[in-house]
Amino acid sequence: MTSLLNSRIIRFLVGIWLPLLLIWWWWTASADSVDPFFPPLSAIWEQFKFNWIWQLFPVHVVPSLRNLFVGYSIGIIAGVVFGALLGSSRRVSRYFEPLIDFFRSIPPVATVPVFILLFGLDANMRIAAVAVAATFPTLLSTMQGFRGTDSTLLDTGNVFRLTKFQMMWKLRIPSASPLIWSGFQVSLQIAFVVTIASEILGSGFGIGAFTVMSSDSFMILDAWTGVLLMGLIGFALNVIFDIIEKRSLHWYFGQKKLTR
Amino acid sequence: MRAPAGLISAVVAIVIWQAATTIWPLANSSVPTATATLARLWEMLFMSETWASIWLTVQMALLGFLIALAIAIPFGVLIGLSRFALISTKFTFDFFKVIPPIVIIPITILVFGPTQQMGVFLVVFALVFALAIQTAYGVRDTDPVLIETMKCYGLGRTRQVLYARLPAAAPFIAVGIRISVSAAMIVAVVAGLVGGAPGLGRDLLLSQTSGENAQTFAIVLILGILGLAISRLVVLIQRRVIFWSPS
Amino acid sequence: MTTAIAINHVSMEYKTPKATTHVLENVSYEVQDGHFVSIVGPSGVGKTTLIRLLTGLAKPTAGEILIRGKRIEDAPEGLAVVLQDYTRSLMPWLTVEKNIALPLRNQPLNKAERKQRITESLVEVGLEGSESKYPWQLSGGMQQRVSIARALAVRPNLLVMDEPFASVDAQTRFDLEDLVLKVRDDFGITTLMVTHDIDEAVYLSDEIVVLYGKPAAVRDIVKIDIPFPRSQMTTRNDHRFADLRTHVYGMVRGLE
Repeated sequence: MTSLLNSRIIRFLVGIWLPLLLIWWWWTASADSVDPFFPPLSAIWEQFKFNWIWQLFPVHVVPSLRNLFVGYSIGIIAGVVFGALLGSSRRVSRYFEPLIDFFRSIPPVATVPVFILLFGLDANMRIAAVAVAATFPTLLSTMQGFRGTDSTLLDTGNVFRLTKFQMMWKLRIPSASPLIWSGFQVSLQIAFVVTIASEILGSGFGIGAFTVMSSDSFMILDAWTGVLLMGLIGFALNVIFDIIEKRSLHWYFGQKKLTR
Repeated sequence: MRAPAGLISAVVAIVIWQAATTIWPLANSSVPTATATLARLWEMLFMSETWASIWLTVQMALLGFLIALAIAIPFGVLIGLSRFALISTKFTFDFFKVIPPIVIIPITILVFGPTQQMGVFLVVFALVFALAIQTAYGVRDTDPVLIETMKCYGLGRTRQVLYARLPAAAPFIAVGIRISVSAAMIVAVVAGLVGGAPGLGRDLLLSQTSGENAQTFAIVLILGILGLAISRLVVLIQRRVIFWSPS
Repeated sequence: MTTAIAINHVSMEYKTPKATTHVLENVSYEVQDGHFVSIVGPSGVGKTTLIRLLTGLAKPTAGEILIRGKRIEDAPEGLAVVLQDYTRSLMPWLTVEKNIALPLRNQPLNKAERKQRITESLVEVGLEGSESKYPWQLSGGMQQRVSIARALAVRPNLLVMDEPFASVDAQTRFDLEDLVLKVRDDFGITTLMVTHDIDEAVYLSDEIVVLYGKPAAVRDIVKIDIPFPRSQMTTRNDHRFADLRTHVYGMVRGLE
């Protein structure tokens, strides 16, 4: 059994039976459902196709994803820049760390009302909220990554007379990159949550707003399609992220696999 | 050396906030001044409603956390014992692990209404999959030599689990718990803010929509302090309990 | 013969708020051009401190070090290092080729010349064909060969090695020692090596500097008059080899 599980195809098949079973179970168990809150999956699926392929897609999905990506990009860039600065200087970080510690302890979604006060209800508010929420995880792990740069590595770079630029791009950043990437991942998850929250609280367009409005007005099928779509997007974001991370850090994962 | 630096930066931050809201660029905006916010915060500290809300939020988080723990650890140990079970559940668990609970709020609000039960359910949903996966990996991570040794001495499966696999999984579970406690608080707040469950989250939403801006900011500050206090507390407790693990 | 390195009355102390540690006291020594010199001494004597001073990573509290008449301020030009901990001195995110290429980027070489240098260096250390591998895909001995290749590729006139073979197994160690002898034969680079292995020092060096004491000072300079070429089979059985190692051993242990 165990040796069979070393084959990738077998592992895939073993991994897929439970999800398939669950979907099948949901489909048949809900087929004759009269519970208003749990309509038949077949009906949800029909509605899902009707809503999202592609009628409402440009109205709700596109703005959501746009806010998410713009905010996320700003957030992680700011996170890396400030994280690198604070990670390179103990003297500076000593003053900022307590504040950062405090701000990251605030649940990211709870900052949305603050951004509504600052920016009103428009798209800028959503982007700002997403950007700030996405900054902290990346900032913290970048800082940690920069602090952990191996001193032998830095010595080697110095003796071989690498320029400041080379020290940064060929040495410090790659050395911190495994941690930076894990910061990116947490940032992405938080950015996704804040995107949805900002739509729900900021009323307007977006998948989050659509789903909650459907739910509030008892359009149960629509609410279910929104939940399904958000779930799928959340999962897809993670999968895509994993693929990009594995590509960018192939040296790191390769090394880890060998030392295990 | 740390405390004075923290104090200095806190004071500087408050001064900047005060200046921004009285002089430029946020003067006469809806953003409250630092003094107004802190005054409101001070008042709120003496109001029983505040403490009731804090307790409601903490209660949701704690209850959800404990239920998630009670489900996830036995389950995690079970699937961790067999490679087949681990691979079978991996995809499903990974899927639910990365789905943030805010996504299902539109459904839970229909089923539970804006209640504490909904909050607890969301916390459990948010934690249980990650905790189970973490436990399972910990159990799998047991040194095979240790297991072989125990087999050589004729120790049965139960003892292997009790004396080898669970202790090996403990550091993994500890990491899971540390992350889970903070996550539980966050979800409890989200449940209130987005789903209307009672507690600080709902207070925040209500004060924002009714234009009580100083109170809105004061609640955000309370959430920050609360989050900081809880994460410190967890680290403190874990250092005492799991003394054999370096982190 | 000219002087490659002149260490003039160098002292070094580390100051911490609580105490001052005096590591080196008035160390003076001259390395002749083309020589292979080993620095030996009991552990914790300040050998690594001396390396840090030579590579410009630290500055002496008193005295000066001149390389070809020029005082060390920063990392000196034309100097290459091989450090003990190859896993931490080779960059795991770069392939063997790119690891070697990195210091070459600041030299006035075009792409073809750079490529040529890399290939030559890899051939010299017997690792041709490993260009696109990552360091962690290689054994410890092979990684240290990459370190040596990286050092050779910059065409240094001074090579500094800090316990270069301390982290590899005994067999690999002998191979790497012979590699160093071959490199020396081929390029004639002035080399300074810190080691705690006295046999190794005697086997490779023209001269051995013994550091001893706290703070450390030069206790003796031992000329190794064993003729080249040397070999693991015959040199180590030589009477002269045995005498010299006994002598150096005695001094490192403070017995003489």
